[in-house]
Amino acid sequence: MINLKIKKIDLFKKIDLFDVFNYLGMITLAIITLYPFLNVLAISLNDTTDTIRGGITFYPRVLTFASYKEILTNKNLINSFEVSVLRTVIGTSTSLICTAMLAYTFSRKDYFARKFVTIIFVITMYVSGGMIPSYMLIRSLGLFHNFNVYILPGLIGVFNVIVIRSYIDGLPYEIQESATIDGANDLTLFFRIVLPLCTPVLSVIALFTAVGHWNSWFDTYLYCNGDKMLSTLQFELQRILQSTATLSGNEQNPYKLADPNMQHIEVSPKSVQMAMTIIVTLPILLVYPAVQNYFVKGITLGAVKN
Amino acid sequence: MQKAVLATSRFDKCVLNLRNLCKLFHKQRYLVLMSFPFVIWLIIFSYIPLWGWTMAFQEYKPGIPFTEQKWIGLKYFMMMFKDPDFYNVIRNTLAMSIMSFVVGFTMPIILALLLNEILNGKFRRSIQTISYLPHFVSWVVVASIAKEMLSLDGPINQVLVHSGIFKETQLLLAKPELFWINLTLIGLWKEIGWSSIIFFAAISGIPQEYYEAATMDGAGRFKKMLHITLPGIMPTVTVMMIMGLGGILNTGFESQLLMRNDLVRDVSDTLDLYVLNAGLNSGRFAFGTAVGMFKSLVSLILVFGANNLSGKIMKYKII
Amino acid sequence: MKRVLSLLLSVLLIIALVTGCGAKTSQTKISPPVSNKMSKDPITFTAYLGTNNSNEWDTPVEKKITKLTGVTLKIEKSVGDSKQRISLMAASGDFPDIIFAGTDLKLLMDVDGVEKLDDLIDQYGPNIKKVYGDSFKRLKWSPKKPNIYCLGDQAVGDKQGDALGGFCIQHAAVIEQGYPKLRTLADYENVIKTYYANHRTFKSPDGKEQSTIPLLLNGYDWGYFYSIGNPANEVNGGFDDEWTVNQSTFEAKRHIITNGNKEFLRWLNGLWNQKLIDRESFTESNDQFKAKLSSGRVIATIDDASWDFYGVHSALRGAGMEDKTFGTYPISRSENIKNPKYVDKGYIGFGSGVAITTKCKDKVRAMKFFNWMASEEANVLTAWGVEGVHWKYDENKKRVFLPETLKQKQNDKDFAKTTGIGLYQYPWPRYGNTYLDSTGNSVVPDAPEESVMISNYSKTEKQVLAGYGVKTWKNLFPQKDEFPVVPYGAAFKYEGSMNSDYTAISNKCTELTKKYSAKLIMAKPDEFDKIFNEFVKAMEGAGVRDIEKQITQAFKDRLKLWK
Repeated sequence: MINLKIKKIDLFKKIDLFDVFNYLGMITLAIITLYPFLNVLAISLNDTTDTIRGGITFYPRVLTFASYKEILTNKNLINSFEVSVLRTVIGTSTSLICTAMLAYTFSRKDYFARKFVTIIFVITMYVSGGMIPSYMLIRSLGLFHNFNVYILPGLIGVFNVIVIRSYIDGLPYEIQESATIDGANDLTLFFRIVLPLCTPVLSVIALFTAVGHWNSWFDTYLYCNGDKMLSTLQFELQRILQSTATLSGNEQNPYKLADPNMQHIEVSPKSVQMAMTIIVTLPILLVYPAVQNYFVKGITLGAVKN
Repeated sequence: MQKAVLATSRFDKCVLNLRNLCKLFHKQRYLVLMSFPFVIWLIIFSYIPLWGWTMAFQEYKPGIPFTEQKWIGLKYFMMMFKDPDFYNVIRNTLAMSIMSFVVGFTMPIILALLLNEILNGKFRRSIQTISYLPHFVSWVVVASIAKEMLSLDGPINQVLVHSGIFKETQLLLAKPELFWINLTLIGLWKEIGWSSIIFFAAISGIPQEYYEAATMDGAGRFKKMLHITLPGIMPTVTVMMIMGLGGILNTGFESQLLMRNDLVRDVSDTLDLYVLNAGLNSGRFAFGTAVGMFKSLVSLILVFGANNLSGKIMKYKII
Repeated sequence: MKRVLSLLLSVLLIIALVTGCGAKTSQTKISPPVSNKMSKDPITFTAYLGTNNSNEWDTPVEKKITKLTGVTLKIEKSVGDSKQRISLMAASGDFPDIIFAGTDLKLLMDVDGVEKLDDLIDQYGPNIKKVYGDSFKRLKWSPKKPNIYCLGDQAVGDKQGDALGGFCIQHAAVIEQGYPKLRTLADYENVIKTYYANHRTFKSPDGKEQSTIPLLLNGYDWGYFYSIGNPANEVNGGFDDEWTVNQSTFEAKRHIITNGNKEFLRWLNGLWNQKLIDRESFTESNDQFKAKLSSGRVIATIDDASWDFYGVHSALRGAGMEDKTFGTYPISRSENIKNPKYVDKGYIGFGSGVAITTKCKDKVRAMKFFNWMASEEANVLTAWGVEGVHWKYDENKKRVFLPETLKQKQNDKDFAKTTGIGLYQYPWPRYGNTYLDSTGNSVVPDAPEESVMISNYSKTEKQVLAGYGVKTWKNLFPQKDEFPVVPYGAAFKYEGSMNSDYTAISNKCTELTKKYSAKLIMAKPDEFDKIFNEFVKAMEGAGVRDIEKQITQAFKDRLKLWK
């Protein structure tokens, strides 16, 4: 009798008015956010001249793969792809472990240097000396044309540290206390107890960091210019774009463009720009499902206690 | 024994403190190991470059050695504060920042909460993935799509006219009063999915037992949200809020640059655009640095202020 | 012995030239270069050439350059903002050997990063002097810095091409009205109104019925200059971007606040209030602007940016709407003002060009390389390609491209990057499209000859041109010999050498110009004058009279320097 009752309650729990609206709302959200991406995809598959006429929604009017061909047949692409993957993997893993370590020390309220370390890091989130001093620092450290320039300067993101730290704050402190009583030292506490519990937040930070590495090109431009072995994917793609008319944060003198004698500055066709967006985003989309698995709905304290 | 205690001089106190410090140091040596190397890293990569701030006080000419630069003291700061455009720009920056903060902060949390209620794992994961796609589409593309949506022939105007709200199509992009709203909504569209990831991860950190216990006690969906989920992610929420406040003057300029036009210039110029125009484009390095310093100061005040406030209200501080 | 021989050779060549073969009347012959001993030892120069070129030095043309000179260029791959990169270069002291920085060269000059070229040219650069000819004296930087810091980036002696863009009207409109007179703003307005009255809607070949747009402007962002700013100056006979300059006293004024241009804005205001201008002219992006032009709905447009029309015309023709493509007409405010499209500005390549930095490892060799680039041999190589690989001489000793090259030129978007042809013309010292080399051929392949222009016209264009009694669009406009040559060149070339306060004021004035122009065009007619006075006051408050005086003085000083 009791078993039946519980079953009934479960059934009713499955569908109610809130759920209906929630599902509908989510579907609407999906449509609204999916549309720009479909639009980009459609334009990337559309003929460049026809794209000028505008008016493309979510299907191409004149189907062609020419834009993709133009980008993918670039000879530098494969090597730069490898470099980008290497950079992302190494950069993300080193950054993650260092950030997590630091975050742990922030979270220990009994750590004597806690306040000092926290403040000194947080301040740097809002102060910066500018591009010129950074450039000269990198140069004097000998990091020009050096793979480490991708790893070292960006090692710790203070934002990430704070996020991980607040997550650790949310974990019950008893876990650490009982382990200390059992004789664990700080290293054990961190590596064997706290870190495994942090998988959700770590996977998020890993995702953020990886995306940052994957998309960056400015450091390649400044510090590894002309070095075939160190060129990143995004940088090569930016070179393909060479678009001047769409975004110039520095409003260029338009008269330079008007010069009849000047080589016709190539404004990359819209369809090529769109193809580039798709090519850049695709790897991230493929990786995300793996990360998502870590967002398992909650963790059971019971398992940990054992 | 008592004599020894009473006879502690200042020097003795010092030695005692030092000894205690050494003891503490040794006890927490692993924590020190896990943090101080990074402090050194920080000093090298973040504090040393701050010498660049001296550029704000000099008529900086690149390449000339430090000692030969011409000192102009607070000239650029004075220029900045005397310029009426500066205050206009601050107003715009704050308005857009606050609007996008309020919206861009609450909505992702709500989304995370709602997503949490979706029990079908596959559906939930696909919605999540789709919702953050706009984050990867650059502002250039998003702006061009947004402009087409808001154009006279675009869908939004179609809706406005067919439903009878307006008699004729509206130039939505030309009205200064709509600019901030447009920008905020477009920013939300772009970032809501990505911003909700972190809150969703925080929710995953809440032990299942709490929910099970609550169910036993007969709590409904909303009660659970209010008493378990929200408090559970409060540390994350507080942290995001404090850091968000610190960045209030850092709206950037990409979205404003792309979405503005000459009819809405008075409301669209942000601090970063101001720096770009009056500073870098006019060849004045120092000016950009001066404004940067101003921004840093304001941010730090806001962050530490918010931190203290949160300590008083929520009993939770970052620092 | 070698020296005597080469001297003898030069003498013989000169004699041959003087008694030599006839030249085409419209073009000038180059005298062969003075033999310049240049070692062919391999050397690699680092170079920054801006965003125009960041090749890997692997094309046939580039390899041939190395073969002939021994020089390899390691070019920095440039992306995005050039000014930022140059500032960083200046601040850090990391200069490449050779640099082309446009007008940003000033940043490097401020840190003494640029080598003075006068002596080097005197000793090793005879070809350079030959190329620039009379314009060589214009290469002196400024009165305060009267040396030569960089060469000129424009070709010397270029004939301007066909007219495309400006005051445009759809072919269908002029055909229907029997080729009406199009000389003044009033004519232009009339033609638009007449056509619009009978064609409120338009059915495109794919069946969609849409409303027509009488006049479309490109008022968004920098499009403003091409659609409103410069045309305002042109209809009053002015041609110097934001300036109107008295050609005898050289007094310069920001044209937009002068009375002549006020009347142009008033005319636009009139059209706006008659609902003849597209309401989205100020808010839509450049892409949307071009999309509308490509839809066939637009009857008329004002757009000086000729490159907008390449894509638009291709799209229209591809969609079967050839009669909706645009022709351009010589419009002025009144009949006694000439349209200044073909005013001869003289050589305006100064103030921007290739330079040698103070950190160059071998300045003499670099100058010898520049000298070689200015030679006929180099000019032909960079413009035509490698003989036998890309071009050959036909039976008449005429230089023609090989068929494969021609095909590639027309179809391959990356033609320049794969062959190297055309990559090393701008901004190197070179002859323009009016010069013939020692073989009697044009140094540049695509010289704008009338026959070439006519062969590229569509059927509709030919029909319209015939209706107006001319052979080419260019013929509709007053030609350059109807104007005096501008002695100081072009105003925008001076702005780079002004100080930072000037630049700040100038930027502010430009912002005000864009803001108020939009306001004025969209205002109610009776408020127009009030807003205009507000505009002038605001400009004066920002310091416009100051910069007008400064640039006037700059013109006068520069002319003294060039005497």
